[in-house]
Amino acid sequence: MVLLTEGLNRVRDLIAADLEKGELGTGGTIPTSADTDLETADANTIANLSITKSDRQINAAYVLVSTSGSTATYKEFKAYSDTASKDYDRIVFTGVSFTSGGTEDINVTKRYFIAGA
Amino acid sequence: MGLVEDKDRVSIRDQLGNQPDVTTFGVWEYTETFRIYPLPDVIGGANLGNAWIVGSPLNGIVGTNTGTAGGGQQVVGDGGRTTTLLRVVCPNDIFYDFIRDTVLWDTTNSTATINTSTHAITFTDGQIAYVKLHNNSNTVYNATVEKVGNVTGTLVYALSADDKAHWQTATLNTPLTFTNTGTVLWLKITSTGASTLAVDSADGRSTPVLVRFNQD
Repeated sequence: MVLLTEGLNRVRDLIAADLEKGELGTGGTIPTSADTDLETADANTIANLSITKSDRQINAAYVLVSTSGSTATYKEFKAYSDTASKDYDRIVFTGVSFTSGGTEDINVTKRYFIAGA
Repeated sequence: MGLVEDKDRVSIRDQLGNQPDVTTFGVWEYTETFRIYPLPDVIGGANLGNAWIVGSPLNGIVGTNTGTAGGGQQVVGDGGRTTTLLRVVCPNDIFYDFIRDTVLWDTTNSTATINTSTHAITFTDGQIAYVKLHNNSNTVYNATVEKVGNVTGTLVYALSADDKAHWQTATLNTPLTFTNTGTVLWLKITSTGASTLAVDSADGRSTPVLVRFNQD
């Protein structure tokens, strides 16, 4: 018996369908699996995720365009389902400065690969 | 003196007869699992280039800046956006890549052919592939190259923790302690003769490029 690529790609599709939005925050506490939200979320940064799928892989791209967000140093990001009100992923990184109304966007790309073990 | 039959044998004979087709009893349990690999997170910055966007305090934006590239619908003039890779964050300090994209592969300086359709890298003699493993301001002290897909031919591995300034040769599954520590970790793969690094094998399984670092 083996898990078929077709089946793994179905799992990929189900996960991808739930990855709806991304949000940045300024909290830097190391994430744990018990987290249910960003530490210090900035609602001005909520944006849709752009999903790209390849063989067994999901790329979820988020863009905070230069005219949105707040002037802040962002240190955390989450990917979540707005429909289900469930957070799937929270990451923390060394701060990235952002100026609302400035000349720089911030891009975050989350990637997942589904493999038969 | 007659043959004494044990209770189990009698019980089986009663159920299946004297010459049962079933001669072995056992329980087989088939288990297949799948795993979701969290690949390195990539955080970048993109400037607006030299484009003039009507209405922006700085670039003249009218309405919403949708993040379209320079030359897009609401952009006047062509500055083009330049994207800079600011952070590469590996969950649990473990790098995985399955060659589905070239997000972290240095396609400018790599001379090997990175094929995201076949999920493989092909090398001729002396060709090199570079991949960025980590860039998140915290210092990298050690690293171990654990897997590099399925390799045919001869590949040599080297790691740099100071953004390619100094390289140290790495042996598979042998922890390497950096002489020159730093915050930007790279893997360099060099071929001796023709080689192929393929992530997927014929049985449908995938072996990633896998590097652990700062695993004390």
